[in-house]
Amino acid sequence: MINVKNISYQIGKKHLLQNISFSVKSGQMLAIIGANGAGKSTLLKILCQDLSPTTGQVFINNKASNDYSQSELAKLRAVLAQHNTLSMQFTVKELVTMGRYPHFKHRPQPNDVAIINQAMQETGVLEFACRNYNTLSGGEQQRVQLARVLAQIYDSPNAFLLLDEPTNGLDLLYQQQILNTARKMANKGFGVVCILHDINLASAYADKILILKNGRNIAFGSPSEVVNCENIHQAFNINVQLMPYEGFNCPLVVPSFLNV
Amino acid sequence: MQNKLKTTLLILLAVLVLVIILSCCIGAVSISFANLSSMVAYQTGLSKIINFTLQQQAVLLALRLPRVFLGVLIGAGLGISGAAMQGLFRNPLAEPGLIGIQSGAALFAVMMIVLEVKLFAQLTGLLGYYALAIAAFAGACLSTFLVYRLAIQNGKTVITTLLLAGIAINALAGSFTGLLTYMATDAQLRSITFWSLGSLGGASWQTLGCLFPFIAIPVFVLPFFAKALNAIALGEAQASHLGINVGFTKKIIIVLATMAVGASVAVAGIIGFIGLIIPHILRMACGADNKIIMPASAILGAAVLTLADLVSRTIVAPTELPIGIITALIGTPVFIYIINSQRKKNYQ
Repeated sequence: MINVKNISYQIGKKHLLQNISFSVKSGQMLAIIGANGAGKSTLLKILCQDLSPTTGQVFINNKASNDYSQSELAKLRAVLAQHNTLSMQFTVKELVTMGRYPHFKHRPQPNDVAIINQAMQETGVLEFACRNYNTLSGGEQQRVQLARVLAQIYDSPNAFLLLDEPTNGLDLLYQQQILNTARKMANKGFGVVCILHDINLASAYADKILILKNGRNIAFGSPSEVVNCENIHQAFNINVQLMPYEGFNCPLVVPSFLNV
Repeated sequence: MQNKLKTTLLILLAVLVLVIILSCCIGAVSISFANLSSMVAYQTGLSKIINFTLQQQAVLLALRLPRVFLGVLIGAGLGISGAAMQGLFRNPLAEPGLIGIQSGAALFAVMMIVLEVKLFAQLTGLLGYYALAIAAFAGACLSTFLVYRLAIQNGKTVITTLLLAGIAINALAGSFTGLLTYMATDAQLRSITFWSLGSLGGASWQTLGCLFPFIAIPVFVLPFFAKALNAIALGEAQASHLGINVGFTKKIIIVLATMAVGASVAVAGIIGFIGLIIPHILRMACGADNKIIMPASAILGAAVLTLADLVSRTIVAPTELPIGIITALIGTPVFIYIINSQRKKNYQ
């Protein structure tokens, strides 16, 4: 379980995050939504220890996150960053193998090799395992990176997956594939935290949604609790309409174009 | 993967051995392969038959072998440092000179040559022949340390700042070197030119002994950072998410590269292009995995530099051409070819 207690983060006098508290249980998927500059990425950076909060603390499995060593953390959480550029020409397989780096010293063990193949299969990148990563399309590259982070925590119970806008710039099919894979990981018992822009995708896939606005938490709860016209208007400053959608317990959010 | 590593290294080692044998045999005093094997057998006590002249033996032991091994050591040091720097800077065009190693060494060496002031004279009296080498090494360490200090922000080294600081310090050292060159006499100018183009002419068993630890330690330690450098190719944040201690890796790599390149420059002057080109060629041939690239760069660097030295001392015999000229002369066309073929590959 990730427990975030009263996190604030400021640079100079600018408050990027103020008093954020929430928790993600193992087996749950949390989506963080909010307008640009709301503090979503900063929050994720604090969750993965790239930044340390000005005040407050993050607890991972009931232990303060800064009490873990870097290598312990590497076996406990995997992070898919928003921008992934590769400076050298690695093959897909070499790149996914890097996900197992925390687990082997010099060469991958049979268990690592099996996991690498499994992760590539689940993300559908096995067929181009020997291709040069830089020659793949954006959607393919993103799935390869996802395979890498899956491989990193594949056999670690109670581990967490942190995804920063994993569907950015991808077409509808790839968006679904990536989120399906994330959802499957949650169903297997991993905790998943995912920054998303699309409110409908968030309510379709996540168990909980956290809505941020100017670094503050304006709503936290299940999709049907937090997705309503007031919250969305407050967060994104647009008027929306809710439309019920058959077989789906949370209504769809559609922008109202009438008031243009 | 493990097989690929073994095959690559074995092939390169075979090439290196071949180049070493060639370099031992060819020169002003010709030694045939039969003479060479007989000498080796005699020296190791395997055989009592003498199929060589005393002159050949003297040339091989006192002149040629130390020179060949100096080429091997320096080539290995430059090759592996280049590979490590390219990994650290996340840029296949990086080379050890970027962080000021060579310009600092050049400045101090030129200072020693031109400013024959009391302090330097005393230093020369104290250290004799090694004074220039020690000054150059000190210059390399000092300028790299300066670049490194400038690049620290909030306790972290920022790679782009490191690059910018390197450019600044290189320019500063270059201008001081230029100033000193302007002041130099004709005789001094000649030794400055010779030094800045590099030469393995100063080889002796003594220099080899002094240089050995400075090259051996980086060559054996750097490959252990192959995994870390692979992960850094993903980005520094991504590498630390994989449990890599990025700060520690940066420090160690800069220290080890300065050690190897600084000591090489001190002994043989500035030899360009090896550190840039060797890892590049290897990456084209066997992929980007640093587990292969690092040791392979050391071996191929050794082979290429030894070969370049063979050319430099035979092409205009009885005098010799500075080795820096040879490496750049061969290196540039190869480099242009690589850039060109890379571009074609990207279009496909």
